[in-house]
Amino acid sequence: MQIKLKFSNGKSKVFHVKKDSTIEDLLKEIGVNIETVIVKMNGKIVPEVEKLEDNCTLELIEFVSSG
Amino acid sequence: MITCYKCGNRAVIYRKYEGRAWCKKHFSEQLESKVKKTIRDEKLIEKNDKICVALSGGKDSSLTLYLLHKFFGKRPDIEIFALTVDEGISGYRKESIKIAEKLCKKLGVEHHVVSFKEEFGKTLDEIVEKKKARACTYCGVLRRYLLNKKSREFGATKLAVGHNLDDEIQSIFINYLKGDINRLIRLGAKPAIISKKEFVVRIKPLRNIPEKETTLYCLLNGIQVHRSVCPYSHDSVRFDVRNFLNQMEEKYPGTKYNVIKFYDTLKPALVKHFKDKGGKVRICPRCGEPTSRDICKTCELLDSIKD
Ligand SMILES: [Zn+2]
Ligand SMILES: [Zn+2]
Repeated sequence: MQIKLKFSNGKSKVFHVKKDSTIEDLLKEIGVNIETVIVKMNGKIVPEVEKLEDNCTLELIEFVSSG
Repeated sequence: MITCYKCGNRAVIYRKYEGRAWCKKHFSEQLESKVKKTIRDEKLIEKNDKICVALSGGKDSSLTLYLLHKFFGKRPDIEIFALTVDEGISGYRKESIKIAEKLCKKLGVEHHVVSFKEEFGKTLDEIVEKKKARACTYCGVLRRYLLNKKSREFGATKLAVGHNLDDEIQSIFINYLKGDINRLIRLGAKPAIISKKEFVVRIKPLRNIPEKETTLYCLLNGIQVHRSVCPYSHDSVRFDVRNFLNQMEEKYPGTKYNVIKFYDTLKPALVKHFKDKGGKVRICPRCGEPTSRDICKTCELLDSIKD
């Protein structure tokens, strides 16, 4: 399956994953801790345990500690 | 599709440590009841309180104001206003003040802005010109001082800050790592400060909500927040502790709640033991901050920038 990943800085990158992979699997592969992001799949906020959809666009919303 | 444990609608979050997923509505309701519970259990807000919310425009302080206004905005005996500190950080603070102003306008909450420049004669940029690495220390100390002073002048009985669960357990670890029991025993949703008129009681309504969930609530409920990183932020002990705790939580879900529950259980015993041993929480006579010396770091720092 092919996934398009959009980062907070506006850049994006295409990844290829196995069928039935979850968002969490992909995040692990690219070294992003699930405690530090909220994920949108095709524009909707979803839990990381959700399965990736083929040709979907993932958006990572990172958050910063605010003083 | 992952669905809500309660209603079967599309889920927005799955909490590993409880093994359940929740939709927007039920997640939001739960977060609100958790915050209400903290406020009730710890008696954070009482009749006739005038609450000053320390509002930076970031997610946690914005959420604190939003929720306190939602819970208490209609109570005739409780007043709420917001206070923003303009440290004078070019390219950063202006934008967040705009966002803070917007939120206050939307909620109909009185908003005050006070600045380092007016109070200390210098902006943070000017103060740390030759010592950039210490910016966070200076900034934190001075902001805290100013928030207390100004909220008191505006007549506040409580000063609400946006500290979330992650902030709190990071502080627990940092004090542990530094061996600073004096500060360790003064954490909590409503740190017991010496009852002196000069000090406004600080309260942390979001203290039991993980950072990820404060962010999610803001996103889901249309609370616009400032998202830039402060130009002075850098790798620090807190940064390392934050990474460590996030790694532990990912690997062992529930870690964060365990840390805070453990701390809360241990704290009364710690405080008692500390006192029994003759240990005193030494307080700076000028400002009330805990200190191991005669005059605390804050006051020293304030003296040093006067020159
Ligand atoms: Zn639901
Ligand atoms: Zn002092």
